[in-house]
This record gives sequence, C-alpha cells and structure tokens, in this order.
Amino acid sequence: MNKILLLLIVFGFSYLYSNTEQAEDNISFNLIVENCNSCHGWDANGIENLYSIKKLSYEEFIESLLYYKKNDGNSVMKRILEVFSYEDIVRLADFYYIKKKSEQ
Amino acid sequence: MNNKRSFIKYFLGGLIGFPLLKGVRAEYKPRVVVIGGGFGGGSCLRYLDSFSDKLDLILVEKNRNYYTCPFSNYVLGGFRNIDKNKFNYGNLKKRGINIINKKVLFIDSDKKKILLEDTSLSYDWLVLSPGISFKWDGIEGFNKNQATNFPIGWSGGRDITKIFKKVQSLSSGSKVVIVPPDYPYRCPPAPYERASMIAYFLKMKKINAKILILDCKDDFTKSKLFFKAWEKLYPDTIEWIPKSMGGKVVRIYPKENKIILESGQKIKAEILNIIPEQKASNLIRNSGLINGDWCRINPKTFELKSNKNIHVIGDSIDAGDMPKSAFSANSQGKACAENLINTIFEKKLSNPVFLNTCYSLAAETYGFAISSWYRVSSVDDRIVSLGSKSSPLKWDVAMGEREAHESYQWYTSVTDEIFGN
Repeated sequence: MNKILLLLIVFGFSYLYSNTEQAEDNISFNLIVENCNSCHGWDANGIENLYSIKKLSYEEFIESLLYYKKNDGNSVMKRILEVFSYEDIVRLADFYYIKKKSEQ
Repeated sequence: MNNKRSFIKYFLGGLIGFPLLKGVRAEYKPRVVVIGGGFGGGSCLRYLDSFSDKLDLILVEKNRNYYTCPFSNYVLGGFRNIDKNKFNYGNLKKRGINIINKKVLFIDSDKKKILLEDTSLSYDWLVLSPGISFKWDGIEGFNKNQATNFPIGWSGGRDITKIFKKVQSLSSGSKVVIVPPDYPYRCPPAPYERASMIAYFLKMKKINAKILILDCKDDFTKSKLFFKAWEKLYPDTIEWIPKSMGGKVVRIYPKENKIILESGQKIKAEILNIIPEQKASNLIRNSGLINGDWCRINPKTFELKSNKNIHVIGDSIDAGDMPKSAFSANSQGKACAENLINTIFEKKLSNPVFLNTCYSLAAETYGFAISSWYRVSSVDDRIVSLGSKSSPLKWDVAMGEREAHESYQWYTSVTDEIFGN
C-alpha cells in the first residue's frame, strides 16, 4: 500500500476520533489486545510465523491489519478482522501504542 | 463540655488509631482464590499476576500435573505423545502465586470459606474454573462405573491413552462407535475430530476398519468441513448417522460391547466411545451455588447471579453464544480478571469483548477453524456472537496445512501464557 495514502487514512481517522467521544459503550480495547496475544504470545513477542505485535511500528501495525482485511485469501486473520472497520483498526492501533508507551 | 470531651476523645483516638488503621490498610491485600488451573483459571491468573503486589493470589488445583483437553485427540492419531500435553505449575510458583494442590470439597459462600481435604481457606473473591461434570442418566445401561471399561477421554488426563490402546488393537473388519452428546457440551467439534484422528491412524497402519458416529443431533459445528475432509482423506471409513436417520443411542449392553439405536437396530463394536451429556462441575452444584445444569453469570463480570464475590468462567457457565472451548475459557479468564480488578479497586467496569478460534484437525497436517468475536448485549444481558467465519469449503491442501500449523502455534502460545515464566 502506498505509505502516504496509509498515513493520510491513519491521521484522518486519528483526527476524527480525537474530536469525538470515547467509544460510546466503553468497549475494552485492552481485551481485544489480550485476545490477540492468545496466539501472538502473551507478551506479544510472537511465536514462529505468528508475528510479534510488539515489534511492529504504529504504521506497520495498521498496514498489516489492513493487508489481512483486504487480501483475497482465507486466512484466520482475515476472518478475525471481518468485524473490524478501518476506523476500528486505527482506534486499536492508537490504543495499543499508548499502552505500549506507558509500559516502557 | 461533653461535646468537647467527645471531640478530644475521638481526636486522640483518631491520632492513635490512624497509623494503626493506615498500617493495616497498607498491608492488607484482598485475597483472590482461583479454583482450577486450566485454560480459564490459568489465563485469569496470568492477568491477575500483573497486580500481584496488590493481591493475595492463591490457586487451588487438585492435580500437580495438568493434561490439556486440546490436542488430546491427536494422541489417537498416533502422532502426539500424551506427555506433550502435560504441564505443571512450577513457573506459576516462581511467579509468586501460592499453589495448593488439594481437592476442594465444599464452598461455603456465606462464610466465604473453601473446605479442602484437611483444611479450609478463606477468600475475599473467588474465581471458579472447574470444568464440567457428566450426566449419567442419558443412555440406559451406561453409568459412572462403566467409564472404567469404556473410557470417555473428555477431561484431559491419561484417559485418552486407554482409548488409544484399544485403537492400536483394531484390525481390518473392526468397528468403532463414537456417541457424541447433545448440546451444550465441551468442545463441540471434538467427537468428529476424534473420528478423524482414529481414521488417520487406521489409514497410516493400513487397517480397513469402520468408524460409526451415532448422533442424537442432526447437525454439528464445521460439519461440511469435516464431510469434505472425510470424503477426500478417508472415503468409506467414517459414517455419520444423525438423529433423523435413527442415530440416537438409547441403550448400551456393556458386557457384549453392544448398543441399541432408537430404531431398534443393534450394533456391536470393538470400541464404544460414549461421551455423556454434560453439566456444570459437581463442586458448584454440591456447594448449593446453582440449581440448574449451568451457572448463570453476569456476562460483564462473570459473577454468579446468585452469589456475590463468586465468579465462574469456562465450561461450567452458560456463556450465551460462546461455545465451551479452551479458547473461550482463555478469553473469559482475561475478561473476568480485568473486571475483577476494576471491582476490587472500585474502578468503572469495562465492556468486555471475547474471541474464540476453534481449530480442528482432520489429519496431522490438515486443519480448519471457525472464529468469532463476542460481546455483551446490554439488551439481553448475555454474550452474543458478532458472526462466525469458518475456513472455506474448497479443498485446499496448502490452506489446510497452514491452519494446522497455526493451531500448533496457538497451543504453544496459550500454554506458555498459562504455564510459562
């Protein structure tokens, strides 16, 4: 994906969400991440070819999720991402990178 | 004057009492006891671990070694040694969790006490993840005593090796009968995966035997994926007879290794694997915490609707749309822990989300899966699915290999999460 386009999408959504209320129903993004870790390692360090989420930069995180969501294959990741909108992916990335920073 | 005296009395009392009270408050750690160190309890503990400096964490688990239910069917395929499914609690101990390897006899919810074999234990909050118990009244002639000669293989443990011994003794012309239970039960695709694993073993050994699945249901999860795999891998080996075709078993004659179907047909087989219908753990029922078959819980906190400060996760609960699986229990364990922490430290409850990805193998290197996210419906006060997605029906060897591989990675990851450093 064109990186400039990706960054435009990312910052566009980030701007949109910085101006809106938190998720209306207080959904736990932390638990979404925890559920990802069930496969990607409880410390998010990855196992074999299940990537380390921890090592991904903010852009890479969004880029890889967008790739799985858009690709034509039938991977488990594509199926898991089925219910996520593009804005959900950005919100998840925002949450994850704030959490990651706070843990450093 | 009186007012003045009272003021001085209380002021002095306050000065004396305050540091003491403060000291007690500072030292006091709420005690959270988790009963059951499997996928639900173990995952809950891993999350609670991050708050170990503020909590007194205790795990009560009767077994010193834990054999996982997931991957136990692969022992029957002949490609996985049971010891690979064996874990212990050594690393949890190193993580600072107090572990008590004793059987729980009773939970006194009024006194917040747990009665163990030779002692008792108090708790502030209790998390129960004890798995399931069996109902023994579903099939005439089959009871708890028969389970010794007809191992069920549904609770992890070494039971599965007894079935494998029987599988190893099969010869061409032999017959295997698998009787799956009615819903709800632990790991819905497992009886069908079990048939696949036995068929795989027979194929590897070039034994021409027959596997009959005699079902009291007319459909099962991932059925089309299993049918496709059986047609491709084991043509004419596995036969599924649904309820509508007379598949319901009504009686067993254990001495003759014979079962009778609803239609009256008698079938004799070398192996009878009967998986009884299921209910919440007997510990929960015997402690008077529930009346029905399953625990009714608050889906946000997993607290029992009938008892405060007792939370139940995993196979013993009615989890709405969520199936009873290790992945579900893992997800519930984390959600329960998050909102337990919020409750204990008086923070706002979060609205949990859950994930289940249920992998099944049809052969050592051919797998498929079904995934779904779940959340709590505030309208129904239950856990609802956001829509499940399965592997495609198209026969795709590369995809089957990839999904089988991913199932091993999930297993490695989740067992490391629970039993690792």
